[in-house]
Amino acid sequence: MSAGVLLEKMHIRKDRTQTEGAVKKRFRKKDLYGATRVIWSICRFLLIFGLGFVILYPLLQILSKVFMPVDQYQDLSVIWIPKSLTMSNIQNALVYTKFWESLANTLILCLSCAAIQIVVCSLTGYGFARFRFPLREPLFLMVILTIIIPTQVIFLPSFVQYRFFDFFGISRLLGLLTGRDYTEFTRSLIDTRWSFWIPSLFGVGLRSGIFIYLFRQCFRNIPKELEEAAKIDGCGSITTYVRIMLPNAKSSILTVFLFSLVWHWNEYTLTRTFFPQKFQPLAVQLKLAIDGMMSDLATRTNLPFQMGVTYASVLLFILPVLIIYIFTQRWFVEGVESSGIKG
Amino acid sequence: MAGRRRKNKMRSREAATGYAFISIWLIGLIFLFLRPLGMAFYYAFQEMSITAEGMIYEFTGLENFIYKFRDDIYFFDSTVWPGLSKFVIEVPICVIFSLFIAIVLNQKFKGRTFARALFFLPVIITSGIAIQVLRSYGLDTSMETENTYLFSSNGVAQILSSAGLPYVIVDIFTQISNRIFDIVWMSGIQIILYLSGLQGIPASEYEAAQIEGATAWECFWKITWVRISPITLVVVVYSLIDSFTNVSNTMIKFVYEEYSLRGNLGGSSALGLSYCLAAFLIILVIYALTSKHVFYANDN
Repeated sequence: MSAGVLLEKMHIRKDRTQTEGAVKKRFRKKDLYGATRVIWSICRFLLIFGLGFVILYPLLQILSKVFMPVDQYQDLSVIWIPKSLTMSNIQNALVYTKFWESLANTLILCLSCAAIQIVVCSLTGYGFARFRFPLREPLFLMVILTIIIPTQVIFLPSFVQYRFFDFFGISRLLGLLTGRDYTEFTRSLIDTRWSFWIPSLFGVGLRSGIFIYLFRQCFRNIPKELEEAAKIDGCGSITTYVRIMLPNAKSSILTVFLFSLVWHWNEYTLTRTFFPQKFQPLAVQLKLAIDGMMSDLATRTNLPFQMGVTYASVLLFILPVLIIYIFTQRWFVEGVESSGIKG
Repeated sequence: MAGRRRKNKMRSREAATGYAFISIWLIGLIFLFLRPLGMAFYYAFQEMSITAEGMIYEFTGLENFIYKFRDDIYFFDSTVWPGLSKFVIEVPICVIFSLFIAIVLNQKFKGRTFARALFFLPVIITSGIAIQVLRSYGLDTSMETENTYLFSSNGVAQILSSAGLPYVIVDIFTQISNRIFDIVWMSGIQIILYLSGLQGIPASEYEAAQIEGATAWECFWKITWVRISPITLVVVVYSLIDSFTNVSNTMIKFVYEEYSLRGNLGGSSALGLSYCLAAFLIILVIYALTSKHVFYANDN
């Protein structure tokens, strides 16, 4: 046995004792770590459970009240679970909100506007993201301005404009040329869906600014090399946009689609003004139904009846979006996360 | 020389293509946004009345801007100040809350997808007419006014004050806890924003910090908070805009009611525009103050 081997053995023994000590120490630390982890996961569960309750509270209340016969509302022995079930609230709500008709109106409006906004806002966002042109920064500031200015401030002049829509000045020009009053050549967009389609078509629709911003951020994150490769292959800018950029922005497109759908669904102030008589969506009918009950002599003093119909109509109002959300939430969350809205 | 000319040509071509892409929006901006905005400015200086021959305009100078303050001495205290100062409490709480929830939702645990879906749910329904309607019915068997909080904590406040805590602290506590419903329901988008930001922080930085022996507390302030600061800026600005333009804002309500109920078009335009200007200035100041502390990892 040479001295070298002996030395080696000693080293090994030394190493072993050292590692044993370390394992012991680490084990103790791990134990402590595990304990805090268990406590934290309990805390986390309680936190999520509590806040989840706060979020679900209105929905649970509605669900409890909708199927409850209205005479049990003031019964103190009934808190959450009804003694018997009824469908009369839902049936009343279906009548009061003209549900199927207004649902069709809402769906047509939301889907068409969302589709238009995707096309126009992505085009504009691409323009801002990839091309350098004079006045780009001030113009982008204008996009921000359209987000900041609330609709309530400019929407009276917009109403006048849509009431006498002059096709971007063409009517005035015709009026000047023919010598007649230009109002002969204007059209009223009130009570037509064009009052939503036209602003969406020109990128200044409901919260279009936010969508332009979102698309710009998304296109900026796509590597430039992809475009350059397409250019070398002889693609024009439109082809590049359709073939290269859009397929890479799928998750953003889905996000914008969902947001647009939801925001149009919930819009009340604009729809109330632009659809005084025809094409009223659910949001308007919901409020009209409640106002109608309050002014109708037969139901004015019947508070439980009013509440029953209100809860049922609210449930009918949010149920379609809720269903869409349940089916799309996975993509929705992923879409926002992966390419999402970044600073 | 020829190269520069070609470069110039390329650049002008690029500019033309850029303008082509935004041209549709540009038309909309000028005709459907800036023109109504200009008209609102015009209305602000006019006294308008509807007669048989149509609208009659009469120049009144600054009358529309001051009439409300002169006629109603409580106007500033009851409408303008609440509208402009709502953000002082709401925005900081909202930012802190949403960051906290985003960090919790970013951890790995069972049922995470479900929890996330739950917290984004307010995005779907929030600010909608549904909550407004429910609120007017108090969500309870007794009729309550619109201003009642859905969750109130009077009992807790009494316990706290009888435990000897100073009034100020109890007051802050009740202010926050009374708003918990509003805050949770307001923070949907902010949580999404923060979550997307948290996912962008490279895990290697935390590993390096752990090897150096940093605690979780230090990790948060030295890595997460710094890395997330651009998102914080976006969240702050978004929350500010949301609080200023929300339908429940007293000033927005006033602007809407002034012409829809009282038919005062000029006054509504004037006060609405000046309110927007004030809100814009506040946003600008806060943006300037916050953006100083923002850290960008790859400055491009």
